[in-house]
Amino acid sequence: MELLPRLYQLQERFGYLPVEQLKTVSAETGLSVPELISRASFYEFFTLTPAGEKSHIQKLYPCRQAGTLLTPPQEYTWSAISAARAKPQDVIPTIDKAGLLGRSGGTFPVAKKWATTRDTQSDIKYVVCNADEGEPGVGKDRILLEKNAAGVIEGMAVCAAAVGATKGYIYLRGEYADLRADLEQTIAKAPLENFQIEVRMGYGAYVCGEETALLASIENQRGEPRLKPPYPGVAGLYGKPTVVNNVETFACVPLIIDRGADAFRSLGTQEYPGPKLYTVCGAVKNPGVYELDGRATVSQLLECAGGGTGELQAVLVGGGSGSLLPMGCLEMPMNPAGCAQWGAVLGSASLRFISKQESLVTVVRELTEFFLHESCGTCVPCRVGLRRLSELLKRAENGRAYPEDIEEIQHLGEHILATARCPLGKSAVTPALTLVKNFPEVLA
Amino acid sequence: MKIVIDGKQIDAAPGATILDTARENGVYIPSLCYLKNINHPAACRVCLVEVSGQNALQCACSTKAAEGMEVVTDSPRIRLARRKSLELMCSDHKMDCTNCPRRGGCELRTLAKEYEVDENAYGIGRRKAMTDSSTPYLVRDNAKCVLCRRCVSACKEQGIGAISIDNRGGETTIGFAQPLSETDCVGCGACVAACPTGALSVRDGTKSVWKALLGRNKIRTAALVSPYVCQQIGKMFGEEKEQDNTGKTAAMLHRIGFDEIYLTGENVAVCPAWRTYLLKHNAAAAESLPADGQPWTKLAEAYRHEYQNENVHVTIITPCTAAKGLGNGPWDAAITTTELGEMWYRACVSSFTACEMWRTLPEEMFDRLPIEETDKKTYTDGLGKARELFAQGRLEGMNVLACPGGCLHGGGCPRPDSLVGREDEQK
Repeated sequence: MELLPRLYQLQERFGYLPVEQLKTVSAETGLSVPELISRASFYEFFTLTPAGEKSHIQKLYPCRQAGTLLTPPQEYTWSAISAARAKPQDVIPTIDKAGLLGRSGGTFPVAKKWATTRDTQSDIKYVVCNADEGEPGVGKDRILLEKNAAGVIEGMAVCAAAVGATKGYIYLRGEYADLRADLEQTIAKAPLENFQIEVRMGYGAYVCGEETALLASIENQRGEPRLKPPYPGVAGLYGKPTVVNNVETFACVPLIIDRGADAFRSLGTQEYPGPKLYTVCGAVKNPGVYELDGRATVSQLLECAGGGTGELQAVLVGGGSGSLLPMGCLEMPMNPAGCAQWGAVLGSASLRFISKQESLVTVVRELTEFFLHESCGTCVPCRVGLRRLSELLKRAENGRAYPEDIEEIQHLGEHILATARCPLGKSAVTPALTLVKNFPEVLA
Repeated sequence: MKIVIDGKQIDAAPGATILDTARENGVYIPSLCYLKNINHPAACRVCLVEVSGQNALQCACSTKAAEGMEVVTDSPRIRLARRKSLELMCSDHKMDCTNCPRRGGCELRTLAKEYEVDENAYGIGRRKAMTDSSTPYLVRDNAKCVLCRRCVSACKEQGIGAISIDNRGGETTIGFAQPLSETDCVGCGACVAACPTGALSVRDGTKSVWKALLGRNKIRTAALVSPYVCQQIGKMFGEEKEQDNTGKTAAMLHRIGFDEIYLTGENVAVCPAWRTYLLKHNAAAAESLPADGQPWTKLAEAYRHEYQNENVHVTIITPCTAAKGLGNGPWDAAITTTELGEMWYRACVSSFTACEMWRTLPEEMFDRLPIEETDKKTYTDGLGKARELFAQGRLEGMNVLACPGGCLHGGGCPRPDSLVGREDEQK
C-alpha cells in the first residue's frame, strides 16, 4: 500500500499517529521516523497527538444552474472513448480547433499541453486529474464530480488515448472524500480497457492544488511545489511525462469529441470558447455554482444569484487569491481577456461579493492568514513575508497603522510577488495588492 | 556553451546552474540555503539575479545556464530584493549575535551586514522558542533557524535522516519531530557544520575545562589534541585555508593555561559515530569492533599514570562531535576545534583581539609521552556511502570514519571545506 494512504489508515484507526506504529512503518519502508513525521505533518488530517474525531467533509455550494456540462445523458454511452480509440491522432487537432483552454486558473491551451506529452518518448505516461479544489469560495469541481463524474473520467480516457498514457490518477480533495465511492463505481463501469484510473486522496493541504505539489503528494512526499522547468508534460509524476488537468477541463473533452469543435465554439467567446462553471458566493441571495459560458458578465452572474444582500462594495474575482475589484467592474466579462482589462485573472472563476457591512481589510487579512497557513513553508518571501504582511494588515484593521505601513504593505506584497518560489506564493498577495490599488481609502 | 555574466563571456557546462558557473569563474553571488550537490531548495531567495528575457528576478541556484544568456549579478534592483529577503529572514530570527556560538562565522549576519539590513524592519513577532539538547553532541535552537534545510540535507547525505522538516506554512519547523536522542542520530555533527547560523551548535563542554584551569584548587591540566585541530583552528582566527599550525596551537594552549599538552594519533581506530550507527542497526558487527578505539585513550592513561599522585584534569580536543558521547573514559572533558577557538576568544576578551593575538603567537612544542599507535586503512567517503558498502560486505577490515573527508573534516571543525558555500569555491 502507498505510504500516505497507509499512514492515514493509522490515523483513522488510532485517532493520531502513534510513534510505535511509525516505527513499524519505518522498518518496512526504510524511511526514518522523522522522515515519516515530516511527510505526514505537512497535511492537515494527520496529528501526532490524540485528536478528537472530526469530519472534514465540505459541501458548501449547491448547483443552481446546469447546462451541457452538468447535465450528462441519462444513459451514458462512452462514445467519446470509442471515437478517440478509433482515431487517436485526431483528438489533439480537434481539441486545438475547439480552442479549449485549461479551466484551472492558468488558462493554458489544452491541445498544446497534450501534444508535449504525446511527443515525449517514455515507457510510461500518466494522466492526472486535479480534483484538489481548495480555493476559498470555489465549489465547481465538487458539483461537476457529483453530476457528471462519467464525463470527467471519459475526458481522462480520451486524453490517455491521445498521448499514449496507461495510468491515470484522480487526486481528490480530502474534504470531498464522500464522493470517492461513487467515483470509483463510475470508474469500474467505464470501458477503460488498457487505461487504469486510481483515486488518490488529499489530506488537507491547499498547496497540493498546484500541479507539481500534487504530483509530489501522489508520490507520498511533502506537497511542496517543484521548480519548473521541467514541466510535468515532459517530466512529471515519478519523472515521467504527465498531463495534469483540472476536473472541468477533462469534463469539456467528451463534449468536444462527441459534438465537434464547432458546437463547442458556439458557446463562449472566440478566445475562450465552451461552457463555463462559475461559483458565486459572499453577500448574495443564492450562492452556488452556475453553468454559463465565457460571455457571462459580473452583473449577469450577480443577477443569477438573486442580487446582493445589502449594499455591495467590492467583489473578489478568481478565488481567494483573486483580485479585489470595485463594483464598477459589473460589466466585466468573466473570461481571461475581460478580466485582464481590470488587471485581474479569471483564476478559478469565482465571484465573492462583499457588502458594505464587511471590512475589506479584514477580508484581505483573513485571506493572507489563510495563505500563510497553507503555504508549503519552503521559501522566505511566502513563509515569512505573508506573516509580516498579515501583521501589517492587522494593524491597519485595528486603525493603528503607521503612515508608512501602507507603503510597506505594497512593497512587501510586490517583493513576494516578484520572488516567491511558486505560483501560489506569488498569487497569495493579489488580494492585498489590489486592496492597496483599488481601495486606498480604506487603509488611509 | 557561452553565457555572459556581468558583461564577461564565460564558458558554462551543459546543465550547470548560473550560480555554479559564476562561482567557478570567480564571480561572487551571495547565497544562503545552497550547498553544492547537497542542498538546493531555492528557499532563501538571496541569490537573485537578472536574466535576459525574464522580467522577474531569477534564483541563480535553480536557473540553468543557457546558450547566449546574459546575467547581471548586481544592480540596485537586485540589492533591494536580496535585502528584503534578508530582512524577512532576520525578522524571524533571534538576533543574539553578541552571545551566539556562531559568532563571526554566521552567514546570515555576514550577509545582513553586507546588505545593510535593518534587522528590526519588522519589529514584531519572532519564531517560537524551542530547543533540543537531548543529545550529548549538539544543541538545536529553533529561534535562530532560518529553515534553509542545509542540516536536513547534510543528515540525509550521511544516510541517517534524523532531521526532518515538520508541519507546513508559517508553522514549519526543522528537526523537532522527535527529540534527537530518540532518532538514529550518531552525533557526527554534519548538521552543525552545515548550519549557516547559530541554530545548531556543538554542545558546550568548556565549562568544566575552565573550572579546572581557573578553579581555586590546584589541578594539573592536560590537553590531548588531535593533529587535525592544529590544521583547522586557524580558520577561527581569520585564516582562509587550513594549514599546519602545530607550533601556534601549542603556544595558544599554554597561554590558555594547560600544564601539559600532547598530540594524539591522527585517526581514530574506531569512529565513535560509526560505532553508534552499528549499535543501532547491526549489534553483531558492533560487538566485533575493538572495545576502545580512541587515539587518546592510551595517552590519557599514560598521563594519569605519570601524575598518579596529583589531582589531574584531562581534556580531549578533537574535530569530533561524536566523541562527546563516548561516556566514561580516562578523560574528563571532550571539546571540539570550534570550542577551543571559543576558549581562545574568551581568553583574549573578544574574537577580534583573539585574531590579533593569534597572529603574534610564537611556535612552541607539544609534550611527549611514549605510546604506540596502530593505523588501519580508513574509509572516508561519508557515512551515507559507507552504509551501503558495509551492507554489501565491502568494508571488511576497513576503519570507517563517519565524516565525509575523514576526521580532518569532523563536525566540530570551523566550517569544513566539503560544505563551504562561499570563499573556497570562489578561489
